Amino acid sequence: MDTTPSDPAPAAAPPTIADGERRLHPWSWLFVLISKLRPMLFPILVLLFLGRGEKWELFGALGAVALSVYALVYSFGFRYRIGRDSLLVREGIFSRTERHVPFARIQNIVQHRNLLHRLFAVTELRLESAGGNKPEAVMSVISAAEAKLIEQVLRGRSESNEAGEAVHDASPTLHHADLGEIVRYGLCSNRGAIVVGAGFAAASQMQFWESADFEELSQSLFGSLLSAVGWVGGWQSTALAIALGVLVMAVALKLLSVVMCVLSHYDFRLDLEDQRIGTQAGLLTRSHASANLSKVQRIIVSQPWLARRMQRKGLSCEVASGQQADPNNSNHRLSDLVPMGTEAEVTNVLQQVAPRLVPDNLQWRCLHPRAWRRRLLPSVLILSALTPPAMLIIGPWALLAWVLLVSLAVLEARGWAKFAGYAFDGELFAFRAGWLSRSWAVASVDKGQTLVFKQSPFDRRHGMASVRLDTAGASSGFDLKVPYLSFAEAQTLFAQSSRAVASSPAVS
Amino acid sequence: MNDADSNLSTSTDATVILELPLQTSAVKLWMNTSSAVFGGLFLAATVVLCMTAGLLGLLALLPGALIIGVIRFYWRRYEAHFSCRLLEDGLLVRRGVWWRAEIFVPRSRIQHTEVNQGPLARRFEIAQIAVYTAGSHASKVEVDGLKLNTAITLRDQLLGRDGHDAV
Repeated sequence: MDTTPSDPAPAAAPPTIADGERRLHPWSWLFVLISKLRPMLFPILVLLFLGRGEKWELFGALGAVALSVYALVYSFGFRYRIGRDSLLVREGIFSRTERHVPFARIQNIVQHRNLLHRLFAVTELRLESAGGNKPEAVMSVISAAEAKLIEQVLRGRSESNEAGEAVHDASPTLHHADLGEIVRYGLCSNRGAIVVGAGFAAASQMQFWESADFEELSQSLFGSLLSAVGWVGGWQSTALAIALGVLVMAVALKLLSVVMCVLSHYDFRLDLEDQRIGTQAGLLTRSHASANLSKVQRIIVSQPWLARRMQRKGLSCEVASGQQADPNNSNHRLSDLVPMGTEAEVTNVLQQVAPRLVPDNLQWRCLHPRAWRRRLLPSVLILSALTPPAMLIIGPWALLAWVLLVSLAVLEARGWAKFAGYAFDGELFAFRAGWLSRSWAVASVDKGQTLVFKQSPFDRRHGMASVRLDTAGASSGFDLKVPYLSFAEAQTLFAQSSRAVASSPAVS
Repeated sequence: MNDADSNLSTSTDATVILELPLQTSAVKLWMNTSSAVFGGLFLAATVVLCMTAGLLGLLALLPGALIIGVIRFYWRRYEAHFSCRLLEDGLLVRRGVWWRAEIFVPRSRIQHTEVNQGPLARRFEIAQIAVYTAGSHASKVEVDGLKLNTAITLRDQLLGRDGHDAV
């Protein structure tokens, strides 16, 4: 996929591939050790800093030695062999596992290289199939050249290597995101907030946060500033200080999001070669994921509010995998195709990758005319339930807040229902929804696995129902679940899509 | 939805190959065990309350009776609404009392199946069949309360066709 000048590929002719059993890179033990130590890093730090008495440190040291021995034995005992059409992996210390992985079953090939990997010119190669809850093979670590070789074999190009190489050199980069787009991507994402939120949760668990108080903090940060400008005391100054605090925090969170996105998506590239798409990205840690085009289960176009203002869209896809994707670590699998790009860029990539799935070409149908009321009801109920206790605390202002929030909810519900729609033409199943942020999801029915028709008590009251098309590897929050359809329409959709899925061939 | 629509609507009703009835013994088993568990809990609570608050504790029997009533109502409705059919192109399961669902698993998407029997179920010769697909939300569809023979017939019917990878 990458075209570095030190390309060892010419030497990588099929005969060398067929050569007997192979081992991991000599430095593998170091990486195995690090990966084993990582989840224990926090307890170890706690032990070192908070542990009392030397006994604990001794235990820690013993554990570390045991782990190192394990890592050493494990990585030297790891063997793999690349057969004609399958990969054989043998691993384990006490219980040896021998696993045959047919090439055709491999859905994702993921290479992961952090700074240390890059320093040693090695990579972690991860091969995933659709089933099971862990990867079929994790080779941690093999040399970068070896990984490239394996990827080539898996692409079934081992026979026609020379011809393949020619294509490889011309490997067309479908999309390249420059720094500006990545910064925009960061501005639209909420990654920073997620991380900080998780941090807050952890901090509150450990009661570090008990003494600190946001109001106090903002006061102490901005209070002096305000008094310097001429503001003195009073509740206005407190309110202003809190508002400034919130603003600074929001800006800081966005900055953090941008930094995180630049780290993970810097120099983002999407390549298409021989029906195989691959992406690589990352500033310090380079991730490299690829999958066959036919393995793409679903495409998702998303447009957060800010992206809409900047006339940008994001395009991602899902690849089947038994493992649940980690939403915080999306670059472990082929996911983003265009993190953020103009309408034209997104359409262009889609045309090349999945011309049938372009959402603009679909005939969208709306939901039930009363869908917005169903959407509205939960928020009104929750708000109304919260108002009486709020009135006890802040008095009649709570009523004003209720009115404002409910009108906002009405706007949201109406906007959401106005945009929401589905499309089904016997070959494609699509759903779109959103108010300020919009999303589209499209799947071909031959990727459908199960169909679910559902009616809640509320649905029955309103004569509505929902229909969901389940696909493999669905990990984004945006499902192909069409809610609030009129009962008859839902029944037709369910029956028709059931027949369509059942009669479409199960593609491998 | 033009040409495809007209083609599809003709084949909307797939032919039913096998009707798989829910065993009344299974419904009774679930109804009675859940009633017994809740009944026992409330009985114990009543005894404790009677010992501390005198005869007033007998009031605790009221919610107990109510809950048992709801349980019996639930299972009767469950039985009435349940249907499981093997169609020529897949398995269609309809069930639920308050939240009703209809799940269709195309035959070609089934990865593997399982027939399970717990100790109590064994005594009543009922079984559960689980059908697995490569999907994410409904990757496992379970149908409980079938006769053991029926479940095995269903399994044999579902398998033994073309074995392509459905992903």
